[in-house]
Amino acid sequence: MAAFGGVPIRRVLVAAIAALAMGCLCSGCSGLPTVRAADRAAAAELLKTISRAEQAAIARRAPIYRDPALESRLGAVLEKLLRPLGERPDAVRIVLLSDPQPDAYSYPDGTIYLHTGLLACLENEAELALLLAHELIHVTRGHALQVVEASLAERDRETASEDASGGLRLAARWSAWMDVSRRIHQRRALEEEADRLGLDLVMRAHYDPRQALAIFDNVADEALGVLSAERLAALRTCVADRWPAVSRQTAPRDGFRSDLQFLLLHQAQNDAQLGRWHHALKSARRFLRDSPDQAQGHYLLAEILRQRQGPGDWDQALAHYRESIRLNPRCPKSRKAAGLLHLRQGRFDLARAHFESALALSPSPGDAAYLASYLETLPITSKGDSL
Amino acid sequence: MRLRMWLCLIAAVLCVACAHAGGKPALSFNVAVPEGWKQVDTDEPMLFITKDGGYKQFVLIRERPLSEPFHFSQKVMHAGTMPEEAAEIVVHELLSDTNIRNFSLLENIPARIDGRRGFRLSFIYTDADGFLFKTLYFGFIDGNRFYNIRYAATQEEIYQKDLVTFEKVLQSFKLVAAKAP
Repeated sequence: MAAFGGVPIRRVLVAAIAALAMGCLCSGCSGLPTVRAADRAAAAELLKTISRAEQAAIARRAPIYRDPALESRLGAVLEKLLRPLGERPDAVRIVLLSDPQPDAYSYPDGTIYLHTGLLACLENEAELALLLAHELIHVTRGHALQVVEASLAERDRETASEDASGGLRLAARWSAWMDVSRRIHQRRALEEEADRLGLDLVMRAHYDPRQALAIFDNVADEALGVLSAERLAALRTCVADRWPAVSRQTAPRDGFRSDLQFLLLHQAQNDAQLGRWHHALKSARRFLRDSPDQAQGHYLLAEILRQRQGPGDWDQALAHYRESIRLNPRCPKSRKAAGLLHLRQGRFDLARAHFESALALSPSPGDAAYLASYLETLPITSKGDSL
Repeated sequence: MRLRMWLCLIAAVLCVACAHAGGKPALSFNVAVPEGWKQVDTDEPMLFITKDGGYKQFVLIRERPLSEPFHFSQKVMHAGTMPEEAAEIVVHELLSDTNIRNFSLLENIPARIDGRRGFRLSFIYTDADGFLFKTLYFGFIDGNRFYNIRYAATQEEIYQKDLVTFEKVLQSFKLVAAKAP
């Protein structure tokens, strides 16, 4: 489950190793918690320090995405998952970050970060439940702490081997390599545990696990890259083994997709800004699939196609501008953009007609200035195209 | 002592070699640097001038080939790109820039620069060190190059005070020669 859960442990681990290295370099300094002894308290303290620093960096880096309907949905799913765990509803909080990368991660204080880029990939509430359940398992099972403890133990062994004679250095290096290998396995084991127990939790919360596993078909290719086929196969086997026993439970039509609509628009805009055309088009088309009569969806899709400038894109863009104008004839933006495309293609009369109609609809001062500049420079021709 | 002399000699040779191997390409524009403003040397194809330091105010004039994608959005401009489309690409680059926070576009209008059709943006943002900049950004395409002329200041009173100076710099901007692709 690479898209969610894999990254935070790695981040914590890297930060832990960096902190340990710092501790080794300046053993006399007191800025870090005592990390010499691989005891649980020191590891917990170190983890707290690292987590605080990382979360502060996240707060500086990515803006929080606000969407009351979606937040309410997330809260309800979380509550359903926390109940079987016997955890208080306030034990965990979700922070939605406006970030196009499909990612999710959690911290030991119970904060789960979800990127809009990942949420935009989801098709149903069961997928969301699996995503949250995976992170909840990381939090409640103390996975990050386990990784830091292992790193501390490793460092202690390395420190001990430094005192050994030269003849033992090779053995120490070998031991260090073994530790790295073990660490990777440990991380993978933790991910698998989060997968397995998370899926179990999803079932206990009465979600259809088959629907939940569809997340792997829906998340972007790059996010799936780290997820091994074996892990996914193991999850599917787990469902096949257990689901018949609870197959009477059916997930209701949950309205999840309608709660995602604004996020899809937001995500399409974000991806278009970054030139991630494939993702932007995917989000805009998903928006229109559920809201075909929304002029803003057609406008956004047309804008993405206009900017991408691939073969046939401008013709498709014009079709969506037309649909946007049909659905909302009072919006000047689609008219102006359609005019720009006609202008680029040398259809000056059509461009003029669109610019004039846009100008008549009280556009923003900036748009009005551009429209005036286009009209000022447009040649008058006798060629008449139909839109 | 002899070792130090050798080191100095090697360093000097390396400096000369670097200067010959690369160095700053000639700029294809001229502007009048205002009195009291200093030019800060860079290896990039740009002119950076300031009166009191870059964290007070600066004017930055930069040229770039159209084929060079923007760093964060990876978008490119083309010879047929309209000024409004070029402005859109610049705004997207700024919005995608991970060193910029709290970007807010105040104005996006057409403009003429050295007689060429272009655009004018006005925006504010916070940089990675937490300084708030107010910026005026002019851009236009000429041939196969994109030119941008920007003025930024960290305090409103400084911004207003040096705005007139910047307008003189802008008026003095002239392309000197068409550059080879």
